[in-house]
Amino acid sequence: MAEKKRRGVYTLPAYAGWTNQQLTKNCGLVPYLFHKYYGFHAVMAGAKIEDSYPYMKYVSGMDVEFLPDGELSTKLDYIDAHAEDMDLLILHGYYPNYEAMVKRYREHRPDGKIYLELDLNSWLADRTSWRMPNVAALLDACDVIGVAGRSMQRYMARKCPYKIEFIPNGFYNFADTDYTPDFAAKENIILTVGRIGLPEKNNDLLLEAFATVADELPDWSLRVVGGIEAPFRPYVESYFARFPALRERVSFTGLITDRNRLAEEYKRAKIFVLTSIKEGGTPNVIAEALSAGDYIVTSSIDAAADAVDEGRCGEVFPIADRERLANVLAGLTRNPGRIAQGGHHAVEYAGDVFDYGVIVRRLYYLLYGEDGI
Amino acid sequence: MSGIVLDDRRFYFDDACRGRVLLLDTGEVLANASRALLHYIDDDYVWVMRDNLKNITEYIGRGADDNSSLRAAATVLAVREFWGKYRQRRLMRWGPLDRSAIALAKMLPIFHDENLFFIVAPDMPEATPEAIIPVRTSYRTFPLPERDFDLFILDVAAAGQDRLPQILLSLRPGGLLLAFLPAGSDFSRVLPNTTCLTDNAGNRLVSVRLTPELARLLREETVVGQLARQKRLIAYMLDEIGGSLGPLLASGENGPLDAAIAQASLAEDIILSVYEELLSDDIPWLANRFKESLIDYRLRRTDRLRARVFDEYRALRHDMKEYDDF
Repeated sequence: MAEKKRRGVYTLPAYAGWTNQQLTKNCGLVPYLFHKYYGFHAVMAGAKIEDSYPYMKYVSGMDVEFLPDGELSTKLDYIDAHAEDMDLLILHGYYPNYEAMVKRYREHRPDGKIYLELDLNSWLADRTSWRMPNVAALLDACDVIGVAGRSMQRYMARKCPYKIEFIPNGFYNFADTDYTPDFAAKENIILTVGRIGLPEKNNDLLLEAFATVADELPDWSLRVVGGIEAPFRPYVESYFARFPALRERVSFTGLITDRNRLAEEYKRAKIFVLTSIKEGGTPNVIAEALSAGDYIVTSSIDAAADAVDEGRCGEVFPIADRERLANVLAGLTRNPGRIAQGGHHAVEYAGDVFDYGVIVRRLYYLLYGEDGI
Repeated sequence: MSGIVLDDRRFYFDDACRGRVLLLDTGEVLANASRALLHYIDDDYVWVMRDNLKNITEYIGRGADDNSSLRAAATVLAVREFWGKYRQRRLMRWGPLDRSAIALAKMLPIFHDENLFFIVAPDMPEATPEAIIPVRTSYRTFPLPERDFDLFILDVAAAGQDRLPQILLSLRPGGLLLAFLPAGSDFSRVLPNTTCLTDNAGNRLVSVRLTPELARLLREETVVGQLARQKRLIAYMLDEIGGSLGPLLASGENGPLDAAIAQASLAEDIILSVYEELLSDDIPWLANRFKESLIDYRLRRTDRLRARVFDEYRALRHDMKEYDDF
């Protein structure tokens, strides 16, 4: 019997190309894990939009192919050239240019599989006409349509007659780092991680809230992890000019590309705060923070209930409400038992719901009707 | 690569979605010999028949049809219906008179010399093999008798899915429908099935056995209309799964769980087909959650996930009752 052909999984971006960070987020992780668990030939293709991609070392075995540009015609040419190997095509978000890409793919591969990960928030969901023929044609062409949050899954199930699967943005332990938190060793640290200064991340809210209650929690510090966007730097300077006493207690680490170092940040912290105005599903940072036993404090994004497991491992405050966030932080720091109990539950919850091994197995089953492991 | 595989006495189908699926264990025919005429069923006979069937499936598999591997699988499944059951049987083939039809027609007298093979073909040749009884009438409007056939092999693309209830009711109780579905066809309108084979091109072979409950539902369809039928089918399918959840989850077998997941997924399809008519907004979501809980338990058998299957099932059924949708 001839040897079975090695299957291929490809992902193409809606925009020009992939960022370095996306290699280790859901965009890169899903194809990478199809390679790792099921032996797929995994490829992320797109224009090179960053000078370097240091995270490629974490997804070893997955090919990152750079296209000459990010034009739609280039992506269509790429599909023409690689369709034979594209047994599974993964697309992230909903973008009109996917219609042409999916149509082209289906012309070559009616037998292939398409996984559309709708990186949705309610803002976008409300502004997309899901019943329009062109949108319906795109959804019809997909084998699995996923959203990253329960509330968004329910929301979408009410909006259009499609099977909308819950495929959360999970956590994957690249470096086999021991994420098991030592709760006794955790420090009085409030942590946030991400691209600091992006308007939708609303990071200044946490800085302001911390300043508001800093005197009430003198033994707590705030760590802000992630590259700082250039337009945000003047704010940081003015912040320390206004609160010079906080220079010792508020630290900006900058971008941490070493996953082990990043894991240590999560493990050290007791509280993780997310201040986003909107997110598509559960942000990856939530899954990582849960895995490290952090108590979650999140703004009321669409996936807030998922992030805190309905309040079992965290609290939700209204988006952009500085006073409520400050009150939550002040209240929590006076209640170490609650933080510890929530942190223990967070670890268990992360294993059940946000473990990428679990997520990808379910996705594989949805696509192929079997457990490929 | 989908296709028939013979391993010792067993015929398998390499399914594009499910891996290797057992179609026929010829050894079981020998084991069940007491239920048949013994002179037909001895060890040599099994081996000779096995080799004949092997040759026939290879012959069909080499056919020009784009779903020839499924046609070969259908032939094996059809033989399973006839072999070792010594009484006259009636087979209806609705579709082209291709090499699989001819091969099967020639085999039928081996199992019982009064077996009958009827065929309605879109392009019926003037001369047909002796074993075949051509039904020369209008292809689309052919009225089917009730409780008449033991096996119906159907090309859904040729007949249209709207004929499915009538076709199923033409089966005798316990009869089997084997239906070829082209790739991309609307699965939601296909009735509950226990087996679905898929080839590499996405073509499917669905088998549906006419149970008394299904027959009752199909007859009601003409009275209460399509929507009610769909809703009753959904409830029926979910009840079928729910009624056996305990043993299903206690069993260490993956096969029954896979079948339950396929049925839950099909119920979800049918729910979506009546989406606009549902009174509850949440039934599609809850149906998906139930399916998801079954998949999670299938993949990781923990007590917590087992409890979740029951919770999700109860939530779905509660919502269906609450909104008087079903």
